[in-house]
Amino acid sequence: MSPHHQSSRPPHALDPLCAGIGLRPPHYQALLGKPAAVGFLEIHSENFFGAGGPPRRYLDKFREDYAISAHGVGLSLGSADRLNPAHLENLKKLIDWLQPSLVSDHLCWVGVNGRYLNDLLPIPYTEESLKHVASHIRQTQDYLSRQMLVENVSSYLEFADSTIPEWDFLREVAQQTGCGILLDVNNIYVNSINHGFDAMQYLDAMQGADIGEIHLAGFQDTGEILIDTHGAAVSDAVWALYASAINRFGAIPTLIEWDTDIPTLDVLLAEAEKANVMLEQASFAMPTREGRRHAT
Amino acid sequence: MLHELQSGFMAAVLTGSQTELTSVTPKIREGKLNTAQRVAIYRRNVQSTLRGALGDIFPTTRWMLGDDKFLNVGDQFILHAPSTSGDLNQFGRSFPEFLSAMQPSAAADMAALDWAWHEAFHAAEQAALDLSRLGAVPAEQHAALVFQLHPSARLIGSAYPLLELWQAHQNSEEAPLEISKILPADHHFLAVHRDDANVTLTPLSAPQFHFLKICAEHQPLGEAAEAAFALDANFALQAFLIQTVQQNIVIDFNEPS
Repeated sequence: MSPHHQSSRPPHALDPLCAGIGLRPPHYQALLGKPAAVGFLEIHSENFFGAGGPPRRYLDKFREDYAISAHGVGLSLGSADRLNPAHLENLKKLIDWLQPSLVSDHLCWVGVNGRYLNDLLPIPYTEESLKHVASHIRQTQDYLSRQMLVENVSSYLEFADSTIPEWDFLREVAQQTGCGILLDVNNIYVNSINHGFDAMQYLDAMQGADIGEIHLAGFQDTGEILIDTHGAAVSDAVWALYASAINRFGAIPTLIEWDTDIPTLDVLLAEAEKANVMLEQASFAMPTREGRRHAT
Repeated sequence: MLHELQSGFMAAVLTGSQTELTSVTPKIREGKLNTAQRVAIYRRNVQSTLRGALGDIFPTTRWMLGDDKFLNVGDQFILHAPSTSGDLNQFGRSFPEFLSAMQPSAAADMAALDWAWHEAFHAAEQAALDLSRLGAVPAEQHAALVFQLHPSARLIGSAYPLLELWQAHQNSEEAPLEISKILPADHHFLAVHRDDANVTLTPLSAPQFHFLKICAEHQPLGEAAEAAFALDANFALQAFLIQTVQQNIVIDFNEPS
């Protein structure tokens, strides 16, 4: 099939009981031979903004077998700048072609004044920021003609002007814009240690129906602070918090993220399998989440 | 307030300067770590990301300069020309000119080749030209045809033997000749293009290079041919055109209206 044709087929359905992994080039070959190795694959959308070439050709093959989640890092939803029209256009072209099951980006800013740090930077949690980020999310959803998910980020500082707890801010963003939440359980845990709050309080503030996806990843402990490196196995503490989340909210499509010191595919599949076992248990404990539980 | 906060924070992270840090300090809560330590975490993350992006996009340039020198000029570039897109694949577009402005060199020209390779890798697909279509155009109209190059095609000219250097890096991680010893000697030309899925480097003669350059500027075949014949009266126009169509460098033409 030609990689530049417009796709009109509906996206694959996401099975909430089967965890996914991030799609990274070192695993392309190994994954091509395993059409049902994981529940879904998540890409970094920007890496596929180019209209052709090997990245799109590989993705064209993977989308035949897998549900794809298009996860962005560059929309800069929390920036004081207006949204970057070229970035939005590139994203729209990608998702019009790809027809992903999920589209997401982060509750953060990446740049300002037309310049970018290309890092997921925290925003001050104020009424001004809330109004601003909600407007950007609405614009994005209108432009893409679909709902997006917005993910909570790890942070290493808090702004003095913040007046709203992060968990209330995130819930409000979803309530005001109709976006879904991509709940990164590792980021909740990292921030709870870095900023000294009770991670359960974060979960208490969430409404399960808002959560469209969960992320799990590994962090690095410097002794003074936890750094969200995506370069290690999911920690026991994060698995425990994850269990609390899915026992409370039901099975939700879950992704294992690993972006630095990328291990072999088998290591990632083992992490995904660990999540699958917990998702299965959660679905028995709480089978009521409408539209989430896989009918088997 | 959001704009002021973000502008100040960005300056502190990018420059690492004490003045910028002092101005954002009251806006950040202290705790186990002070503000300088917190901003330093972001500075390290940002540097690591941007340095990594440059290293990924300019592997041959990095090999030529060596890791230390590449890091040094890369950090200067990051300050001089910060990223202007949320898409990191766009970062480094002006790195070749930045290196060249510091000092024209084989490494600066290699940066242009690395960037061309990067762009070719991500460029759109386009089907090959069916040569029989060309055959159907009456000969007297050929001079007015405007040929179109594949979206991946980039033309590079340099006084340095870029292709040999590039191939040397493909074959070995060993350090190349010291940059200062590589002298500009001659004119070297090449096309960077994608032949099916693979990015390919094709050496060109001066007439071939100028022929394609004029085609790339959307000038008609007559003008491109004239430029090539001016350099070589025996330029094999037809054979070269067929070759570039087979290589998927020339992929279409517009008939005169």
